[in-house]
Amino acid sequence: MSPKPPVRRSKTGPTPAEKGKRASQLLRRRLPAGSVEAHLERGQWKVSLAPEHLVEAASALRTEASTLYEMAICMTCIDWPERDLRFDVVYLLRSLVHNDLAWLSVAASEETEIPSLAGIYPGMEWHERECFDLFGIEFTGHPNLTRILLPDDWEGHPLRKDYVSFGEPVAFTHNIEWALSAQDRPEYLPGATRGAVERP
Amino acid sequence: MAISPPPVGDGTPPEQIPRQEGIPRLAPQGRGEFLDKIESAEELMEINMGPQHPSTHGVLRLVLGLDGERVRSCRADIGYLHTGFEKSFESHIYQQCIPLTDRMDYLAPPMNNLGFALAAEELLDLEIPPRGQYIRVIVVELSRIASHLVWLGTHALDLGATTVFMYCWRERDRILDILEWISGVRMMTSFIRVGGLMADVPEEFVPMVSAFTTDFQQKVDEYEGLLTSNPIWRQRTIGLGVISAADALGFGCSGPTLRGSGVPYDIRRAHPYSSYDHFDFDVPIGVNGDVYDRYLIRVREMRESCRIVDQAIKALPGGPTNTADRKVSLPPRAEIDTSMESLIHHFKLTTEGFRPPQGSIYHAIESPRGELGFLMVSDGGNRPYRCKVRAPSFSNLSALHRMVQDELVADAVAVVGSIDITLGDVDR
Amino acid sequence: MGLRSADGGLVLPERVLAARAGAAKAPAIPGVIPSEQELADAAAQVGVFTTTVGKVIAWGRYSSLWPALFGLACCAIEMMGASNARYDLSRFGAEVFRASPRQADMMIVAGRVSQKMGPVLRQIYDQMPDPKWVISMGACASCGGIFNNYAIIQGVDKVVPVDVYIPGCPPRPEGLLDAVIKLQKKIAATPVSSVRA
Repeated sequence: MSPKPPVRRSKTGPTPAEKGKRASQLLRRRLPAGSVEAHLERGQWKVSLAPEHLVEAASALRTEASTLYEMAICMTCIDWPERDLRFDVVYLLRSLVHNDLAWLSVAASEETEIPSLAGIYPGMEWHERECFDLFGIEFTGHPNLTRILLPDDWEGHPLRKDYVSFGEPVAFTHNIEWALSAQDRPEYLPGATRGAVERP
Repeated sequence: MAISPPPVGDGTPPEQIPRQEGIPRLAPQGRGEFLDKIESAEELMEINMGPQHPSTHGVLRLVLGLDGERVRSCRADIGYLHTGFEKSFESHIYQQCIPLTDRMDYLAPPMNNLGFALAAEELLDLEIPPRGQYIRVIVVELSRIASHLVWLGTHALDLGATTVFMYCWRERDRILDILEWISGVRMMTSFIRVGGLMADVPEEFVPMVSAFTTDFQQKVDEYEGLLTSNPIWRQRTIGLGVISAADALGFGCSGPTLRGSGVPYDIRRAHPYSSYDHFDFDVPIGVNGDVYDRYLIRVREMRESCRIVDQAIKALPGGPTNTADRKVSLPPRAEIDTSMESLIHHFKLTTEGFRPPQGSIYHAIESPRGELGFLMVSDGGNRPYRCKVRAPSFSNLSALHRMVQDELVADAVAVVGSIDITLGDVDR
Repeated sequence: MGLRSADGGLVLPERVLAARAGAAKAPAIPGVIPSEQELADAAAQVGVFTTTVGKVIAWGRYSSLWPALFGLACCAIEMMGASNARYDLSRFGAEVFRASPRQADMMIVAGRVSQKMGPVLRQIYDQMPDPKWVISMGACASCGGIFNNYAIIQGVDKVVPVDVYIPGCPPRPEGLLDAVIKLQKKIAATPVSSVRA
């Protein structure tokens, strides 16, 4: 008889109609008045904080019995280049006990120093490295803030809106040389020598 | 033989777990990453595993610091398959993003399609008709079985069981036959689209799926007969790669990696989507958090997925598969000949696409690896302004250094296999 | 479309015609573009003799192509499918996937090659002993596929020389079998004494 792990129906609470309400209520109580701004959008409470309150907010959310957001889902960044504080850094945390999802957002510019949450949620360490890699946001106190997805010597941060993702030109009539067969193609193609030789 | 530490489901910090004598402890946990200065008398020998390696299941590079045969530190170097999906999403309209999502977690492509489609439908506030939802469930659960078959085959192959590899692909080819029958493509089906499905399923679909589910349970019995009670398999997997529930949650592990440590969390139960609450299925939970438990969970999940498919195919309702909202879903061909409005809708959809209202949502589904989430931001245009993919393998892999701490280097292969990572998912 | 004239010939832009008429050739850069003399020397070194011994050696080579494991992404799953029971690749002698490139003579680049992976690909190719062949499996390996962006190398032939390209995303396992058969025909036609550049 092969042993089978015990199978039980997972006990989950009902999905709350307004997700993240506990988070917004707790943070309003804990943090200084006026530093927390929360609004409800499509059934999800989204809490905006300043970077200096982030560590305190995260540890409170993790340990308080009324919230217990112990699962780090992800963190990411949204780039709004026309704003002053162009980056909207979003943290998502899940509470399994209360079946809830917390959405924290921090507005930051390129120079803002955001404290790292890697000490509270170890899973945020890689997510913060990815944010640094793709957006260029610096996290203070991060154990190892290096590029994670791109080569170490890569220049630029691709997911910013002003980074033009280049590839290879696709052949149309204005650059017909790329589409010709080998017999009809001229001896060397524009761009084929990568600038080593100039066209005559 | 793997040492079996006591079960650590109670959240004991790893420093306090009694270890076998003679194995020095290197540094306090929480810095399982590669250490710049060695704090003990031994020097670590650094070996490189990957990115070209038969057992890393893709292009993953692990830098292991060894003390003899014991792994003291493990640093994962990823990014060898970074494709820039999230940047590509921003320059494609929503329908064009669906084939891109196929290629992320390439072992279960319909799962990615479903996650993206559900996220876009939440932005659009759309409801899909029941037939479409049931067919989505069938396709997605079949792809879950296919993904677990690949996992089982490659995991067993790493540990030396070549027969299981051959057997698993026999079943997987049957599932790919079904997917090819309905969509034309074996793997990257793009069958599940925003607004419903690519098309209604042909009439052979029900007999083909029923024939599959009828004898699949016996096939799983075959695999279990080869592995589950096999003393070699048990010696190589029991007590190995243990992670506690608290650690797993802190790293953001999900799916079988989290359930193996005893946390009963499955998104199909916690936040049901696409009619999953209509079906009766069990969610297997582990006890010890080791490689053997995760193996048992995934094998059991294959059986449960087969049950779900069986229930869905027997209760398949009739009716349309796509939403009636013509601003999102293409009108049927016959309508275009007669209705000017349908013609204009068709034209607009194929050239410009639909425009969800402004806003941002996060929607997660249960993929074979764990919680696959899409954080989608719309600025009112026809392209996603930002679509962040929360990849389960990314978070599961960040916990690897905790799982291989103090294990033998030959067991590191088993641990990597048990997390079931897909590098397309990790690197995106 | 805009390319064909009324009589079916190609209509080429003026700059192309001028370049061809002026016979502009890329000047030789040492190590990058060979000069005419160097090309002629290389051509003279290729011995062309087809004896029975040569045919037997070629038969031995193509009947036991050992692929180096280089599965990167989705195409690797179809490659595994091609080596399994239904689309048996071992019928063509290519069953033994070697983990070490030093024991392999064929590299199937299966999947998309990212910028970080390019140098690794080249290093593995260099570690393979001669004679060696490369199959570029799938659209991403052949030309960058659907990913025309910053992260993907647009075709592995920018890094390694390729013998057979397989289109598809991912190609069916039969496509890989077809490529192996084509490669076998190519090896049968290749003079044994030529040294792979």
